[in-house]
Amino acid sequence: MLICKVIGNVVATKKEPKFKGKKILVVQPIEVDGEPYGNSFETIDIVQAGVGDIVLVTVQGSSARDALGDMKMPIDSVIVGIIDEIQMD
Amino acid sequence: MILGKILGAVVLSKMDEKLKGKTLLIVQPLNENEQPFGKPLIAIDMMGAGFGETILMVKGKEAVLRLPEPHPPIDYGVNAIVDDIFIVKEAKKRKE
Repeated sequence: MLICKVIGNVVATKKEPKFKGKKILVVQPIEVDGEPYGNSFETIDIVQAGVGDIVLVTVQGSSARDALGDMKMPIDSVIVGIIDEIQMD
Repeated sequence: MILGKILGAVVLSKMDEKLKGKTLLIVQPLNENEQPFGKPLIAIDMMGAGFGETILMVKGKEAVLRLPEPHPPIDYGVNAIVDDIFIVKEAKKRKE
């Protein structure tokens, strides 16, 4: 799973029917100190995350489909949580 | 998923049986500012996307899961045609 920051969203009227009613958000992977790294990507939100939130993203297809409760869902990542706090020693 | 821009399509003469009748698009991956990154790749079209359109595509087996069995041997699938992308600049600032 990755820590990411939500940096935007994508609007697509013509899309996979199973995506109806779900937000497609643009997320940027970040280090624990907030430093962005790598490329941003798009994912499905199931926890009502908003732009600017720090979120937890499952990036394995099978776990993503599991989280959405539909093993035939054509998705490879899902936002599974909103991170309030990161504790590091 | 990642954003992509449709550059063209490929037509196969000899192919895996399960690829018959499938539209295979040449797609250039795009970042959130719709700038190209990485090399173009081939994805199966499931949305009737046209040349030049910005799309979203899913990577891996999930690309073909919703198609009827037997699934074609494809690892990228177009699953949305993008209307708009909204990026909030300050949401990307380095330090909180």
